[in-house]
Order: sequence, then C-alpha cells, then structure tokens
Amino acid sequence: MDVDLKLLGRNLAVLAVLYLAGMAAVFGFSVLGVSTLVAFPVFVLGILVASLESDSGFWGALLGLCYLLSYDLLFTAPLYQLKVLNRNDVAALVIFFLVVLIMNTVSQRMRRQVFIAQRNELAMGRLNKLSASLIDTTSSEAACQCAQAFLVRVLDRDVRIRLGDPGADAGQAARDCYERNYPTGFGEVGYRGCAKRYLPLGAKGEVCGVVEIDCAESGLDEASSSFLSSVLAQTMIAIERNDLEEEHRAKRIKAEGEKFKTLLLQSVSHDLRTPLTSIAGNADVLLKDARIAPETRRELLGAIHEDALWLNDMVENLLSMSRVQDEDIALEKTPEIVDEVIGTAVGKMERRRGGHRLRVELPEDILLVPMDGGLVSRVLINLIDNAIRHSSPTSTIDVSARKDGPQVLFSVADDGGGLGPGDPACVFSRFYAGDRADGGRKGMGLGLSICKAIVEAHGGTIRAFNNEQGGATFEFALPLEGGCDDEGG
Amino acid sequence: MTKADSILIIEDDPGISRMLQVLLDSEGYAVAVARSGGVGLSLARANNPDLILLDLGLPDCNGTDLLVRGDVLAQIPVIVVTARGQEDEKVRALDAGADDYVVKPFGSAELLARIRAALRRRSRPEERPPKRYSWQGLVLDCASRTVSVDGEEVHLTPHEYDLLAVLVDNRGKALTHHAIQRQVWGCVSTGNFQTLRVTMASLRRKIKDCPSHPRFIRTEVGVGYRFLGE
Repeated sequence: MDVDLKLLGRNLAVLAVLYLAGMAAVFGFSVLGVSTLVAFPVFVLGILVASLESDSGFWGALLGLCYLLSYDLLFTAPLYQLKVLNRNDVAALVIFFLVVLIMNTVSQRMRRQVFIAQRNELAMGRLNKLSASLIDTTSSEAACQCAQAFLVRVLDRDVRIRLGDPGADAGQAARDCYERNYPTGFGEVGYRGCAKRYLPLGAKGEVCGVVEIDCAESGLDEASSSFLSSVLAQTMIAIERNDLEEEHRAKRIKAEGEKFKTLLLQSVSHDLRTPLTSIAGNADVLLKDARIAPETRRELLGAIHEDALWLNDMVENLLSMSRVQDEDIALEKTPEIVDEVIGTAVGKMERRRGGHRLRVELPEDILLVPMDGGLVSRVLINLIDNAIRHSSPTSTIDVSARKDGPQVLFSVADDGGGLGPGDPACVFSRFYAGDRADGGRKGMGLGLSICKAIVEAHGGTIRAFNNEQGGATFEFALPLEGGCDDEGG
Repeated sequence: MTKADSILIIEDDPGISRMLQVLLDSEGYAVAVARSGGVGLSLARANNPDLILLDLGLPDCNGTDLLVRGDVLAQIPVIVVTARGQEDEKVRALDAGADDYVVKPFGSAELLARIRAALRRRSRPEERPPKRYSWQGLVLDCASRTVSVDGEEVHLTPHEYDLLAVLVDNRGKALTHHAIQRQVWGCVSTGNFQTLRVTMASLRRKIKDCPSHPRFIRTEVGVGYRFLGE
C-alpha cells in the first residue's frame, strides 16, 4: 500500500509538472507572437515524457486530455469556454489521439525492455560472482555449499543441494528425482500437495545429486527458473572440475609411487649385487686355493662377514622404508623412553664405531615420547652410521636428546668434515650418496631419506647443518603429544 | 663334568642347521638335529637333551605351540631362534616357558654365551634367594633391601628395588615385560607397560647404568630386560 501511494504521488507530480510546463510553453508562444498551433507538438512532447516517466499509459492519456481541454478553454476563441468542434478540429483531434496512443505503446514497450535489460544485467552480474566463487572451491561439496548459499540469497527461499543418493528417509519425491533424473515435487504432475520442488543435479544423463527448493510460499517464476538452471549448470561444471582434479592428483601420487619402486629396484639390484659379488668371490678364492696364508685367510673371511652384515643392514633399511611407504598402515605409536631408544641405537652401533668416539648425553628428565620405537631407533642408527662414514675417521660422535617445549630434540653431531657444499636439505634426497671419508663402499643413498620419511611420518621435522666444531649436526624433533593410550600410573 | 652336555637343534633350514652343528660340535657339545617340530618332540622325549635350540619358523608347527604342548620340554631349557621383526613371537615364546632367545643373524659368541648361561641356571640347584648379591660394583642387601653402587648407597623406591631384585633373581635370563610386571606389581595390565618402563629408566639413572653401554641391565628390544650379571 505504501508503495502504491508513493507511486501514485510520483505519477501525479510528474503530471502536474508537465501540465504546467506545457501550459507555460503555449502561453509563452502566444505572448511571443508564435502561432499557437505549435502547442500540439509541445503537447505531444509532454505526453511522451509523461508516458516514459510514469508507470502506465493511463497518465499520458490523462495529460493529453488535460492539455486539450485547457487549450480549448484558454487559447481558442471563444475563450474560457469549450467550443463545439468543427471538421478541422475533429481531424486534428483524431490524429492527435492516434499519435498519443502509438507513443504510449512504444514508450511502454521501451520501458519494459529497459526493465528486462536491467534485470538480465543483474542476473549476469550475480552469475559472474558465483562463477568467481566456484572457481575457488576445491571440492565438490564446497561447490555445492557455495551454490546453495548463493541461491538462498538470490531466490529468497530455502534451497538445499545434496550430493549423492538422498537416502531412504528423504521422501518419495526426492528419491524419484534422483533415480529417474527429472524434476519432481511442487509444480509437477503427480506430486500434489508437495511443498518442495526437486531438480536433478547432473550432466550428460548422469545424476549426481538433488536440488531441493522450498515453494511453500510461492513457486518459481520463469525468470527465476532459468536463472536457477544457469546456476546449476555452473555448479555442475565446478563439480566436474573438482572431481577431475581429484583423479589427477591420485594418479600423480600413484605414478610417483611407481617411479620410486622402479628406482628402488634398480638401486637394490645394483647395490646388493656388489657385496654379493664380493662374498662369492672371496669364498671362491678360499675354496680353490689351499696355499693362502692364515692372515690373508682371516682377512678374506672377515671381508665376507662384513659384507654379510652390510647386506643385513641394507635389508633392514629396505624393510623400514617399505613400512613407512605403505600408506595403508598407520604408524603405531606407543610411548617410549628416550633413554632406551637412544640406548638401543647406540648399543647396536658400538661394534661398528671403529676409530670414532661415541658419546651419549641423555635428557635431564625421563621423557616419554609417542613413537614407533623400532623406526626411531633406525633413524638414530642411520644417522650414527652416516656420521661414521662421512666424517673424518677419528671424529667424536655425540648423540643427545633434550626437551624443547612441546617436542623432544634428538641430535647426532660429529666434529669432522661437515656437510659438502650446496643446500644441506639435499642430503635427505633419495639415492643421494656422498663420498665416504674412509674410502669404504658407497651406500645406496637411502639411509637419510629413510630418516626423513620416518621423522615426518611421526609429525616431526629433521634438518642438517654444519656445526661449530667443524662437523655436521643432524637434528630431528618429535612431538611430545601424539595420541596414544596412557596406562596411568 | 664327564659327560658332554647334549643339545638338540630343531631347525628346518639345512644351512643354518649345519652351521649350528659345526659350531656346537667345536665347543664340545653333543649335537642332535631334527628338521621338524614333530621329529624334534620325539627326539626330545627319547633322548632327554640338556638344552634345546628351537627355531620359531618351523614348517610343520608353530614353535611356541611346541613349548606349550611339550611335557618333557618343561624340564629342558629352550633357547628359541627367531628372525627379526617377530617380537610378538619372542614374547609369547618366553612367556610360554622358553629360557632365552637369539635373533638371526646372531653372532656365535652371543649364542654360546646364552647356551652356557642356560645350562648354568639349570645345574644350579633351587636356591633360596641369597642374602647378599654383589657383582661388578653393584651390591644388593636383601635383608635390609638396600643397594649400593661402587660403594655409594643408592636410594631406591620400593618398586625400583623389587624390579632390580627380580632381575637379579633371574640373572642372565631375558624377562618379558609381562613377566616382570607380574612379579613386581602383581597385576598384569593390557597397556604398554609404561609404568614399568618409567620405573626402569629411573632405576637405571640411579644405579648409573647407561642403556647404550649397559653395565648391569640390558634392554631386550621389544621383549623386556635382562640382568647381565652371573
């Protein structure tokens, strides 16, 4: 009602202004001595403006009538009275009214077209905004959420977009829509009394979800329906894009896994064959030649023993690696005592330290860290082994651990040699094997990358850097909170 | 002793079996070999060896089942031979009555030492717990429940003392977490023995036993602990 009054007021105001302006113009002309026949084009102009500015042709016609009556009253003889029309006047009148009629119709159509154009522009603008939001979504669910929120705002009613089968408790209309891929519910034959409208969401004949539109207050008009279709089409595109990206990602991961397996096999076959060749060769010599001196015999047997241990190490490393690589097995963490984990690792390396000094510094308190003890032990073993191989032959190797806020920092540091030139992070790459400081056999280059994989699988971080003693320090942190059952006590 | 100790090897892999034979033979033991659990059981019943080396990866039966089943085996010390990564098997075997274990690949020295220790335990009569135990600087006084290391007295909590005492009573033998927990705390929990481990860590620090260079107690990874004294 309020709107109607305002509109009425506006129309009347427009009319009043134009009437007065028209009258003033004609009066002006008469004063200036211009023939008052010019009044008619002026009236036509006035009526044109009136029908453009008011919201229906009625006002234009009313204005025209006012003009004519006024003109007849005020500007034709006899003045101040309506005179009977003669033939000329009638002709002029008829043409005048025809012109008014046509003008009204044209201006109405024009106004209508402007209205439609503005509405379309608004819709386009909204669709563009939606498009921009959809591009940023990273999953099908997110795309649906985005479209859903958008539709609720624009259509001013409850809209739900659900992916997948609506389920048994979703109502017959929803299930029908999903199964048969056509609109159901409000407005469709056979669904009388249904307050919601259901549209299938899909492309190329396949349905991937159902759109539920609340029509309790009113159905959708045609403009809204076609707008909805555009929105759903865009949503479908976004969904398909997200699905393709997912697929692509999965394939890439798989391909990387395959690549790694191939590299690993190549490396394994090469690096295991070397010690095996050595074993076979030495054994062969010992078998064939009976005249070998006892010292040489001991030497060859020792070499065979060493090679066998080397192979065992290789196998252990490979097993650890495969355990960490296997994504299906979640890392089983139990709280382990730092002292024990370090103790186990150092104990195992004691035999192999050669000329190196191996020192241990335990944390002040007894620390319990959730971890896979075997794997973290392997990290320490590999780090110590790395120090033995690559630092100078008589270096001191320090193994220590300390609490550092919410994590425990383990460190293996030596004082001989240090890391080579280049980015320290490179040492953790797979198949990177540096030169040994003691002239021994080069490894497979997996040891440090296994350390990295294990540490990261625990949610920790590992880094390497040159220390103040001239050697290298390898430091890794494991979080103290890890989520594992507490026995209490 | 006049008669050589006899050892029965139950191992299916011919390479390892032969290697063990040669090794034990050279140490003066009388060796018999069985290639399967069934044959092993019969030989054990027939010959009553002094010690059995049992491989847990036998083709015809689970080595642990043998331990549980075998009546005659209850009297004979058994050392199980396992592959790495079979932690559960080891624990189960020990809890089922095995004396000790070695992990492939094992050093010969280690195996021989364990055989000697097992035989020694067997020949040792059922003795009452000694009033006082001393080894390499560690002294336990059972009457007063006090402990000293290198002359300095060490203050242990009751649980720490009990833990040490249990290990000393079974010195040389690998004890599972489960077994220790039962003997020290009396109850068996289904948890991951956190209390036991923390107590052990605390005990070690007090008797100055670094886990990486153990003087007294060695961690048997995945299994339990072992007191190294004699």
